[in-house]
Amino acid sequence: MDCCPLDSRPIPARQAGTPDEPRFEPGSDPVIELYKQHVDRTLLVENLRHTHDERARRMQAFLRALDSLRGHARGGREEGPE
Amino acid sequence: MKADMEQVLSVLVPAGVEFIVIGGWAAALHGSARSTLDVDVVYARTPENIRRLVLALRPHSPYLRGAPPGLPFSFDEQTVRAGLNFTLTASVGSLDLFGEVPGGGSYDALLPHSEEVEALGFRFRVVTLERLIWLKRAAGRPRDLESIAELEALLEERRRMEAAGEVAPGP
Repeated sequence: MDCCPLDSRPIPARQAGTPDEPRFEPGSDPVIELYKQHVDRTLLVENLRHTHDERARRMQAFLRALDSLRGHARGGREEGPE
Repeated sequence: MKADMEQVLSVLVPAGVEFIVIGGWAAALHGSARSTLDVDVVYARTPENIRRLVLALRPHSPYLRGAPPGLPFSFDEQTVRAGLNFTLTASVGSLDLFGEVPGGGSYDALLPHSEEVEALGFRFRVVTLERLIWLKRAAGRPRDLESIAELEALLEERRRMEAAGEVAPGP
């Protein structure tokens, strides 16, 4: 694991419920609730069972595959039709 | 230009740059299933950190994303001190540097609402899921509505799973 010295300053403890600390209240925004009905929660639950590293590696692999596909698509367009 | 988080981390972390990951990559680290096209970070505006940031990024040809080529843009300490937020393209990928973010303020203001994570071989700070939702709401962009809905659903599921003992409680 490559690491470097992180910010060594003490980090004040979060105080949930203070005006500065948002508390998530489900159903507080009817527009968001409407959008929420279309969220695939099975995928979220699966992701929550993974570590940060696993989530990051999956996203990185997806983005690299997407970039590779875009590269192939660009190459195909530059070659043009037979 | 892809969002190559691993390459961005390999530049910022060993150089000791103080930063907090926000935006789409923060969402992905918390479990979001949505992809993102750039890396967004809030950086500390101290002279020492600006110096580290410039020294780390300069070799990777940072340039204003979307700007026509040939502009007299130089990514140096003076430029960063004079500016605040920079939308960059670099050889390591697209990188958005924020001195401040709406609803989150500066690096120092965001620091208590961040957590340390280990991923892709590096240890770094990422904004908490609760504060990420707060930031997205504060930004007030219509295109974020779907993202906010997903993040709130993610938070609900995490709390449910923590209560059921299915995952370890967060920080």
